[in-house]
Amino acid sequence: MKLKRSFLALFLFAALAFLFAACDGGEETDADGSGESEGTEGSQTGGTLNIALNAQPPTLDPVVTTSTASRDTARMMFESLLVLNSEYEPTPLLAEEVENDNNQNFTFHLREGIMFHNGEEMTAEDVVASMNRWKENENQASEIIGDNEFEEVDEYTVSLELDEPSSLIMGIMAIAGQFGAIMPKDIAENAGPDGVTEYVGTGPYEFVEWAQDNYIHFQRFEDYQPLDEEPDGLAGARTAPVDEIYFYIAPDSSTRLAGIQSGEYDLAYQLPFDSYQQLMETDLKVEPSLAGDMILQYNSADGLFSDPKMRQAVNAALNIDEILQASLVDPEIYTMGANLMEDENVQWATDAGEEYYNQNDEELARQLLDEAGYDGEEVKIVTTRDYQHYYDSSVVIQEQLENLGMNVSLEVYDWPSLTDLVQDESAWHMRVNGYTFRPNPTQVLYLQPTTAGVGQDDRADELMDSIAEADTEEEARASWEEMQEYVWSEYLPGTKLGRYSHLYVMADYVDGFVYSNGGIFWNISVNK
Amino acid sequence: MLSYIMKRILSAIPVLLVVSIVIFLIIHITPGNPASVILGEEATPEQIAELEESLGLNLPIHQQYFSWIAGVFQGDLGTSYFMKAPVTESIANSIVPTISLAIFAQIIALLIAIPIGVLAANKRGSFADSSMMVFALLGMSIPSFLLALLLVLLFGVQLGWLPVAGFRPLSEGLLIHLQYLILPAISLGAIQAALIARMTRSSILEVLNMNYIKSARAKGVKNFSLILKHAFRNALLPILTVVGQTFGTLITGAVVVETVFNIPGIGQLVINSIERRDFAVIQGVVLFITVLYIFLNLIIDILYGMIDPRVRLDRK
Repeated sequence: MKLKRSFLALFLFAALAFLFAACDGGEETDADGSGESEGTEGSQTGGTLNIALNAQPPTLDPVVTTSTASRDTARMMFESLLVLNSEYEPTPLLAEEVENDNNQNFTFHLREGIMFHNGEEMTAEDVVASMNRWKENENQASEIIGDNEFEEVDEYTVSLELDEPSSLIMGIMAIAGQFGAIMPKDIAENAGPDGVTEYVGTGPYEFVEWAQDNYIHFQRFEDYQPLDEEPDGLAGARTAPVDEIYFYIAPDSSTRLAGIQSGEYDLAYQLPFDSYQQLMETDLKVEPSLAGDMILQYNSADGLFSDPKMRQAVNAALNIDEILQASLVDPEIYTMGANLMEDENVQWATDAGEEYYNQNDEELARQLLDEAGYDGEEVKIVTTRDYQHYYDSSVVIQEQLENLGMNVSLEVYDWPSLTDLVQDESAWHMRVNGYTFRPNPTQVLYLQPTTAGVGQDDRADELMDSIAEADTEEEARASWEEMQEYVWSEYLPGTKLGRYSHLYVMADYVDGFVYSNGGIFWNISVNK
Repeated sequence: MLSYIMKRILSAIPVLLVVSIVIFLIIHITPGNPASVILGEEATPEQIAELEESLGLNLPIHQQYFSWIAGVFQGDLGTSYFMKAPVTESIANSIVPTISLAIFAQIIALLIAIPIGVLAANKRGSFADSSMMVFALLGMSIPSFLLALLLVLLFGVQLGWLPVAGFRPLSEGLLIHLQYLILPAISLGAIQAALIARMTRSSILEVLNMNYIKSARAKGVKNFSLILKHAFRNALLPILTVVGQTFGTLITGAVVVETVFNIPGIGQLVINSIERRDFAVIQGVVLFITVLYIFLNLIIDILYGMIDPRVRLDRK
């Protein structure tokens, strides 16, 4: 009886497999890359670039998410009016020129002859629909622009009028993350709250197929009109040298590592920090790209750490060299320093408050703990092993604080549980978290009271307002220097531990990779 | 026969309802929010609330359950919060690689295990027998993820013979399809191979001790012929029982191997959906697997009754 049941089970599974396999045929869409090696700027090398991406994007519509996987894939096909160059300066991309009248009235002259992937020309009505949708979704844009709207002046001109001057709005319009993707008017106007599902942009690559949890496939857009300028960060020429690009979704880092070593992938995202030395000994190109700051965030909104003295005590005690060595492993892939903005960001980078960074002063820490009236209460660090460097940092911090006589516990969750848990401000005291670089300080999340665990602080609010409302860039910078000094000396919603890199690794025949607010792939060539 | 089928179908309904309630509750009690995962960490509480509302996640849990189960009865397992695609479509896409992998793993297991088991039985007590049984014991002891990583390092990274990640459908060609499946199938099939090899050995040994074999041997039948023609055929029954009984576990047990080799199968779908808190997909997949098991058992019982006239399904 058992024998026959087994036979039949086997037979049924086999039949099912062939049935499914037969149904599967034809799903693959053939790109029309054709291996043609001529065209834009004569720089096309042809071929296919296979990229191992670390996460599946929740959507390919960048307007509705801050996901970095969405950002890096969506910008292959979508473009915005302005982008950031390598020094974080807003630079026109789909706009030919921007007239800025006192940071209050803006006129965008659009480039003519820009084609969407559906063959239609981009005009002002598309830009108006796209930008008005974007400003409803992007928090800071929504706050600054308010009820005002982008308006069509003529077929190739769009205007925006603000109630008050803002020295920040140009930078926000050029933001790399949740950027204002320009798409045809009807698609933008019909988009739901979770984003568009028809991907029609103006970028150098056009969308072909998204096989969920498997790959995202782009091919060169033959009618793309590149700028006649040198590439500079996200600005300048986008040349599309390769015919096709596949982003393979490979969430497991050891799979990405083995895949790049075996030649399965040409380029791999975010490999583990402890593989750095091993990779340096191979023929592969290793590009550590500074991606953001690792922050020890205090729950300043509730409980023990709502007292600034407690936060200052922990900050005084930390031996940051030790923490970074344990978590980010190699000094080649991290940097230290008090600057809270990206070093290349010429408008905002400053070392104000550096004397409070990496103090490693136990005596001062004990004194501050006494002043705070700390009496052995349990201090809870919450963390996750999904990001190993957060966990490793947390373990070292726990040990350092216990050496100081504090009663510290470590609770470990998976990432989605942790993001949920930190919303409950009574459930934790500290956590280590990574924050990607932002173009201006008012967007730095751990300085904003809207972020879970960040307490209200009148002085900080006042300084942030003065940055946002400054009439000139100089005034804004002065306010930010004051703010950063205040952040380090007193406010301390978090302690910046260090600046971490993402390890991008590629085969030796891959040229032209640049990291600027995420990996940039449109100028990469494959020279096998 | 018809009344038996009806009875079995009706008896499956309470099982499915219990499974659906349990899985629904477990998933919704687990901390984590799909809206936060979709919008990214920088989303404001207002944006999260808005998306929760549009996904129906702000409704009372019983209301969410009834709305989901009502859809299930109409063949609609819901829509993935994260992928925005129907859950049935996600399952249909993911089951193909999983079943391909399971079948190939089973074939590899048989190709390894049967010769080893036969040889070990034939050389009972010899060094070869002990070696092969140690090999089988190793196969059962080594975790599939460890074997997978070792295979990747050796055949993928060091020797560069085989791809280490991904899946190519049959439509791209049988050879490339199999190339991508070899390493994961070996990782998955190793435990099966060990189990089948041990079963083959003991089953053949049992048969070899029977009188008809002794009689055949006394009549001068050659050893090779004796094993293959006389012993193996009769020893096959328990071997095939093991094969059949464990095949289902290859499908549900491929989670780790699919993760290591980045195969977009059912296991990977479940793992990714848990990480994304994509409730709709998790509950849909669990329900699908339950239905699959119930359905296959039912079909097998029915066919069994048709093939073996001694079994009367209607009785009792």
